[in-house]
Amino acid sequence: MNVDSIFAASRFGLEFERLRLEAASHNIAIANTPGSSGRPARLMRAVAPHSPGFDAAIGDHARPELVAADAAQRQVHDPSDPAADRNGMVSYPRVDLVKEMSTLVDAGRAYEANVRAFNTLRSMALHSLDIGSGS
Amino acid sequence: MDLTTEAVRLGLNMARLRAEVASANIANADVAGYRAQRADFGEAVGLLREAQMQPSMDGDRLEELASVALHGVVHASDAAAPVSLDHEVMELETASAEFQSLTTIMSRRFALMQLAMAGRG
Repeated sequence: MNVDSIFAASRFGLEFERLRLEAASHNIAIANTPGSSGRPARLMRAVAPHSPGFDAAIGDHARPELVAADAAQRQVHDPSDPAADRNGMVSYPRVDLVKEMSTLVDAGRAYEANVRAFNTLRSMALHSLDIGSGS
Repeated sequence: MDLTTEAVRLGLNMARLRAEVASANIANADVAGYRAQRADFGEAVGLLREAQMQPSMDGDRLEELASVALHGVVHASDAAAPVSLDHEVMELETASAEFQSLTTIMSRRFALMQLAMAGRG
């Protein structure tokens, strides 16, 4: 594993954490919006591509992506809502707010850690240039 | 020039181009409909590998090939994904680290040549 691939690893980490943050914010944002009957709301999740080997999984060509999955429904009785169905039930996506909030915080911290790792590696790489330059 | 100097020069040009592309992407990040640009260094990397492997490659030949290897390698990416700023800043930083390493190597090399000419430290 050379220096370039460690840089690529940090870059992958940053992108992945940003997507996790995006997914969690999206899920929190739609938590209280009623879904229309035909189309259930979709929850986002960030996934890393599956590939054999650590190097290939986080290398230059691997890109994390967001996938959407149908959310479980939560039915609320509210006949006055325009989105209510025949029986007066409104369906909301079932979002685990505790999970999403902790993902939000966790992703933010992990993002910072990745930035720190990148900076450390960069200053190491630049310091290695000073080897042997008699001072 | 000799082979190593030409190889380092090609490397420097690659790092510069990388930084240029990243800067252009950052500058245009908020332009509607802008698609991130990418540089494809396949040809240049192949050239460097060839210089390493093949004994027939010398400095002049590498200089000649390197002058065209970096033409037209920048193109807009296919994906309609918006520019992600952290990615671009990271590209910029990586390119800068690369550039600094290569310039240091180059100056060490020239110092060695100077030493050989002067004959003393």
